[in-house]
Amino acid sequence: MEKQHAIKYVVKVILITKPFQKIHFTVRHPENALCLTGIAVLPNYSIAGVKVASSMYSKYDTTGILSLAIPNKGDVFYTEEVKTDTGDYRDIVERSIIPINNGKRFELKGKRFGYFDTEMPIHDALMEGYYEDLSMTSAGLVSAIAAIASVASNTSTPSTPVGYPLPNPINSIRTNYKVTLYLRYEMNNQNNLENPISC
Amino acid sequence: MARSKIIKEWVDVQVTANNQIFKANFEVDKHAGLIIGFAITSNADAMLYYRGSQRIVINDMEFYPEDYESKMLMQGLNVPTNERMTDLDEAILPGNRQVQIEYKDADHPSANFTPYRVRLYVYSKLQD
Repeated sequence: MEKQHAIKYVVKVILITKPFQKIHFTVRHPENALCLTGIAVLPNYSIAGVKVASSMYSKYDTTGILSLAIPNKGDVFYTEEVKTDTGDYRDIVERSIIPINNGKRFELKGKRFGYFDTEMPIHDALMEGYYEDLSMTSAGLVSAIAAIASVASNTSTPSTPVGYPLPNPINSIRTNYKVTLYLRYEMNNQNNLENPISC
Repeated sequence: MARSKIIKEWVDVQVTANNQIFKANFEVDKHAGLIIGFAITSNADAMLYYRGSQRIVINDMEFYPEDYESKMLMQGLNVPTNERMTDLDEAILPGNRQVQIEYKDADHPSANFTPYRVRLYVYSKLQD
């Protein structure tokens, strides 16, 4: 009998369509799954290309909170603060590299995504999940909106006379995005069904 | 493992239109004993990072399902050269030696579409 894959990847896409949305979802474990061995969560919420928004965020801002739990027991076994993608992948070491030539930069991008390793035995057919959107609660965004609102009501610039509507930063922020949950399972190999290996 | 015992092959996917799925497949070298890893690159990294996802099938068995984002298989220049391969966590028998990629492009505000190329590398270990 030809060997089956001993590892299976499952992808669950969670769509967020409005601010502060709270979503309850379920994930069905694959058949013959022995153990959940890896978890990764990535949003496609990014402000990297949005000029107004990018100045309001730091890479430590939270896009949302995701939790995973065992069904009917409420036992949360995994929680993650999903961070906002700011398009800044240069770590502290790379920033200290001095450009050799004027006007040119030597850039390194050392980012790599990976799974959070775990060993959770699978006893149920389903897993429960919960996601809460917090993308509109970053400290920088709140203060920036307040600052812009103040400027719009009190001052003018040569390019924006009094009463001229300033760009609404809220409109520059995406409220439609997705969060992708990646799960890695160790499978009960077809050849081992009579003598299953414990997780 | 001796570096000479690793075979590196690749297949290109030309992404010529936005929000569509593009397929490509190829046959792993007949001397490959085990498939040990993948890597994915592009001539437009931002496109691949923000817009890309793919389904990968080896020997008619799905390894990465649909909506598996390309960013999960990418790595930056600061990652050591010998670690740039995405380890499969298990060595895969080539079987019928067919590797298929179904690459999906999707709109993203941080990367406006222009035609680009995606390259999937497959690393195999020589048969003994």
